[in-house]
Amino acid sequence: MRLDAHGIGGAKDLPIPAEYAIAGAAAALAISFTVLALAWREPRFNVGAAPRPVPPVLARIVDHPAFGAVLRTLGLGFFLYVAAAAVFGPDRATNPFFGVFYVLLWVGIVPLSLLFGPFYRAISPVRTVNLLLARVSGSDPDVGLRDYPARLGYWPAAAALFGFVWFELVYPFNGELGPARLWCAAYVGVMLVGGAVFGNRFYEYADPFEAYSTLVGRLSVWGRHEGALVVRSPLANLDLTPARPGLLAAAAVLLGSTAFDSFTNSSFWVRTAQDSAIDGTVLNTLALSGFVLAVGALFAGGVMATGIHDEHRRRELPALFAHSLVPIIVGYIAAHYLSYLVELGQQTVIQLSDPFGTGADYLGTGDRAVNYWLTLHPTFLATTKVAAVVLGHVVAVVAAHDRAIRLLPRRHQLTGQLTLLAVMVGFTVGGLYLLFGG
Amino acid sequence: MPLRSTTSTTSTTSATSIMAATALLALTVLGGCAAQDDEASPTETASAPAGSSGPDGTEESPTPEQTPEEPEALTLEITISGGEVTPNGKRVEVGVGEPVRLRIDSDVAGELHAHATPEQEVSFGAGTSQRTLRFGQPGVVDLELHEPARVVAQFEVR
Repeated sequence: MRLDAHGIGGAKDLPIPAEYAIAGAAAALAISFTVLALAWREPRFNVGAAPRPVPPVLARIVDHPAFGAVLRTLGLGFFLYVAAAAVFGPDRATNPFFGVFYVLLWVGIVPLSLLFGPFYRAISPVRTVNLLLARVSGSDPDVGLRDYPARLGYWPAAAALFGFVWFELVYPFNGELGPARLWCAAYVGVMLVGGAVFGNRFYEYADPFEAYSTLVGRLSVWGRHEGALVVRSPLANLDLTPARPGLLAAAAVLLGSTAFDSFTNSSFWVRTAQDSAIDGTVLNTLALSGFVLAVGALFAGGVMATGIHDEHRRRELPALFAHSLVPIIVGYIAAHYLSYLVELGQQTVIQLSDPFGTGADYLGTGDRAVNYWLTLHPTFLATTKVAAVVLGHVVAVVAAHDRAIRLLPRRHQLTGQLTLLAVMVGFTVGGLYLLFGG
Repeated sequence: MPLRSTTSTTSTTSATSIMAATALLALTVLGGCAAQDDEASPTETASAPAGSSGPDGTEESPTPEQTPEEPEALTLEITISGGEVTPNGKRVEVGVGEPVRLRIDSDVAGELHAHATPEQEVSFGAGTSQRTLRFGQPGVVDLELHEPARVVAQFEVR
């Protein structure tokens, strides 16, 4: 990320030691084939007993209309506060808008969704504005002028996610206030028009932050069963991810772009890009697209290279397996962004106290100092990164295994998984290699 | 049905225990590696002139002092001539708090940014000049020339 070129951030993580990468890769490989050879042969997730309802007190709180209203108010309030900083604050890296946009929102989505499920949906300022507009005009925010076309699925979210990662990782002026503000204004504009045309369903499938949060929230313990709030194992929750068109595309953007970010920090790419006669922005756009396409194509190819039932169509398989990419994404993003989130996150909270660069201390955080414990313990950081990648890989392999035995004909259940397993091992080893070579 | 579910449970249990064992093995391997590596020594860190680690890394960066008389300092030769910059993204290993001497030979005045935490800036005039940098925290620090924007070197600070 070149954000540091504009003063947000600074040093990046040290590469992980080679032996860590090798140990992680070996563990991923061993675990994969262990799962394939020895794990269950009947689908285990969401069969049999109904999921456990949450304690009644919790359900009453969460389902109370005031709970949603409070979250929406907080979300909109925070949005307006940061928007004010974006409009009236200084065009410097100390403007908390940058940290909120690139760190708290983009990276913070992952831990918050893991903990609370699809949290962005609950606080989404664009949903709230859509709701307020509907109240004023006396219409229903769920219903738009038209139905959302089902065949579009997550494609709009995938496109918007690509728009975000391109802006964050490729666009040279992403650290300047004007362009970043413009990106956000375009986001809000498209979301409000889309919400008016298609109703709330639009946000589910087109809002990049909501789609990302909901997808990662599948790995939380929170779910709904017949309308009631329930607790499930994250694996069972993940298994319920609806297979929609574009789901793999959205996942490929998330994983491919993170891998691209590691790759562009590598000494090899820095030297190659600077030596090249091609413009850096063009070159990076091509490389980012290449990473995203490679992830999508490899995964789709790995999934489709199997024997199938006659009633299935091969082209439907990638969406049916795409949920199993989510744990790999989460593990890799945790590894890639951990110190960034913890340290720049603290810095952003400090900066939020002074949104207009006037020396104010509205939140009382202005005199805090960033705790750099993680950076000062590179061995702990490297171990955590490898553990996150390997854990994500294990969960992914288990999720894919269960889906394979549910979908594939019995005689293809093991051999049919082999190519997908190979692709997943490839992603994990590739990810570790990038963390090592970064 | 009961028979089937029993089988599946048994295989599940064994799979789970094997997975757990493999995971444990992996962690042990990692743990072993971890034990061999040195943690960032707190004394080194404390002695490093990291400048103020206030919220804004861009300000208060330590003024790079001109210290040509440290014989053991790592030296990086930087040449800027007619828009050509060498080296090109060279990886350089340096210890936390250790001095890095930049020997700059340039036909124009310019500015180098070390994207450390906190950020450090070095401006230099046309001709030959020397600057010394130190980094107070482990990490990868890009040394970037502005105009033309180029990563001259990447310091692996350990």
